Amino acid sequence: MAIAGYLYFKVSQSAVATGGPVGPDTWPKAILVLAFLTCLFAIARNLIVSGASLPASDRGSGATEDRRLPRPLLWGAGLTVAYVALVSTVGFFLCSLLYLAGFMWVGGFRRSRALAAISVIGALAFMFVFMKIVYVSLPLGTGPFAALSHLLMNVMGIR
Amino acid sequence: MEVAQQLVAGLASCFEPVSFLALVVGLVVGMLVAVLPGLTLVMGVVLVLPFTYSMPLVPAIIMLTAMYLSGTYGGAFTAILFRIPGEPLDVPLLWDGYQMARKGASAQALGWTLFSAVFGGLVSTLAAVAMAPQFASFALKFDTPEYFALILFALTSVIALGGASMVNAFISLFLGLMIACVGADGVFGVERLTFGSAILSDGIEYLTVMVGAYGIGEVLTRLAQGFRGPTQQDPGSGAVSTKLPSLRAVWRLRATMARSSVIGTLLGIVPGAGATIASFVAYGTEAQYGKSKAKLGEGIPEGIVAPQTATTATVAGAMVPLLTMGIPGSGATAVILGAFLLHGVQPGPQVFMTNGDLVYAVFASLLLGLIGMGLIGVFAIKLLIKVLYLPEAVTSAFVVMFCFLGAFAARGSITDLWMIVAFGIIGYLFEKLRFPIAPMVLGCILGAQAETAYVTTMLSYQGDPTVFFTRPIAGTIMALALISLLSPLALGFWRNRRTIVPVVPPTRIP
Repeated sequence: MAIAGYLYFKVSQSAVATGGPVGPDTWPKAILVLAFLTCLFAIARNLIVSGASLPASDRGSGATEDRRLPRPLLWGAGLTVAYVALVSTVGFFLCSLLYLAGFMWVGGFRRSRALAAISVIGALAFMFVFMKIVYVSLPLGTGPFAALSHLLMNVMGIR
Repeated sequence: MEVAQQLVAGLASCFEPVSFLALVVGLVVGMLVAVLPGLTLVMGVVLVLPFTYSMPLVPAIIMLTAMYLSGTYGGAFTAILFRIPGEPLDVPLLWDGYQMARKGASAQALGWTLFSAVFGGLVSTLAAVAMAPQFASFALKFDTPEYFALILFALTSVIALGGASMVNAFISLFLGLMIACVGADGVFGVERLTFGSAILSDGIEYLTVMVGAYGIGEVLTRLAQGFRGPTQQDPGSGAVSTKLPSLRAVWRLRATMARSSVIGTLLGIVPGAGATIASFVAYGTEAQYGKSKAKLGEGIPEGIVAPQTATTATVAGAMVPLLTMGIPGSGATAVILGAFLLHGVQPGPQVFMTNGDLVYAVFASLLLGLIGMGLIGVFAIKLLIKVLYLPEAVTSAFVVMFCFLGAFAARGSITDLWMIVAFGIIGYLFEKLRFPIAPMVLGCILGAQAETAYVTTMLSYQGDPTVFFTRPIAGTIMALALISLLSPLALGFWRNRRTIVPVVPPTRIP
């Protein structure tokens, strides 16, 4: 409800005089009012009806569940965020290689040689297919990382 | 006659090398995606989307449609042989399919699955070919009030049939509609909700929402639950074979196949219903009205034929509103709509006049795809099913890479990668808190169209909202939207009054 209220305020700032019955703020405001009313309905229902008599799907989750986030999830999410943060600097190949290896390790795949081979072959295959066949300009990185990317591109015949 | 000619022309275009290759690749990848429990059908179609950017439109759509088609069939193998449903839509196949396999009749069970998939697909494709021109000429009568009513109907159907809490579904939908509002609006060109950021001025690509929520979100959910190792059960290489049923056995089940084909085709057309609901409804209908309803759940062909026929029949049904009105009724068709838009084509009634060859090529590819799917099911499944032995940690790492590349390839922007990570986390939280993702995604896709239709109507009709109810077609569609929204509430109230009467008696479900 608070978010809906805040966004309503922000949308109101985009209101301009159009001379007609509706403006650019009409539609988002209507959605935000409906979202606000939906939340209000849910809160009122929870207050009036006891949680036990609500359908399971409406009761909310996690009442009896462990609310702590599993460690692999935190590592996996952290790796994913780190990948996006670093890919421009480190370059697609090296960043993807490290990400694939890290994610597989976090996911419980611990056969080191297979993990290393899959990561290297996977990163090279992605680079080849997307740069050579689909013509996507993937991040090359900066400084020595860019030099590595250019070297690999030359080896694979990517121009 | 003209339709038949165009269908033949469509078949000819499917045999062009690039289109034919796209069809084969789509069928194989769709089967692989369906076999792997970590990958959902929608996620698979999303992951293949970037490969279609540099392809011509016809092969691109053929590839995605072929994936969608074979994805409704491939999961049957793991459900019947390993008791692992590759997709939620495969769950009803466990009940009788796995029981048949345990009795040593796995080849017969797979044979029934294949026959049902091909039969259901064939009936619904022919029905779709016959219906689509009527739908399109009807849609030509639509003005903006009718379009707004139609989009509203699509959105309310997704909420009503989503199976989750309606409050959660509404919040998911409103979030999607608000995401669609970010950036300059389509009528006045005024920026909204950009928070002064130049990146947000262009709006949020719904592709990033789809890839993030369905792809990254699903991987994070499974990571939190703990990835599974390679499949331990081995049915033995000799057990993976398909034995088609005799004509006499097929004739005996004609009523089941007819019923399920109709259910699948109709539920395919209804936005938001889709293959999973069709599969359960067809099984439930068989449990209530079938000749062998007392034996259902013990491993009889009817328990395989009903869900599989309906599931595959939804594919052609779902293509009708997509191609004739531009309304995607499911996650997979939403991605296919995305492929159309990325190639600069807006599906709708006009597409029949401007791109009629494309429409019939899609339908023809469904017919060819059914044949190809059958051939793969008989001859290549032993090979394909080996992907089950890949650890989920490996496949998931590659899924995330595909998500990154899919989002990056569209605009070459790192911002889009941040977007998919953000929507991936939202997707994970949605799964955890039991909010459905589909309303948010459809809200993102249809939000801009809904706003344009609404604002244009208000400007054209002097701000009179009654126009949505007083025009015959718009009023009828609005009434349908209202009924679809209120019917689950009424049904819930009625069930509470009469104690719970499930569609399928739980005692029948092993």
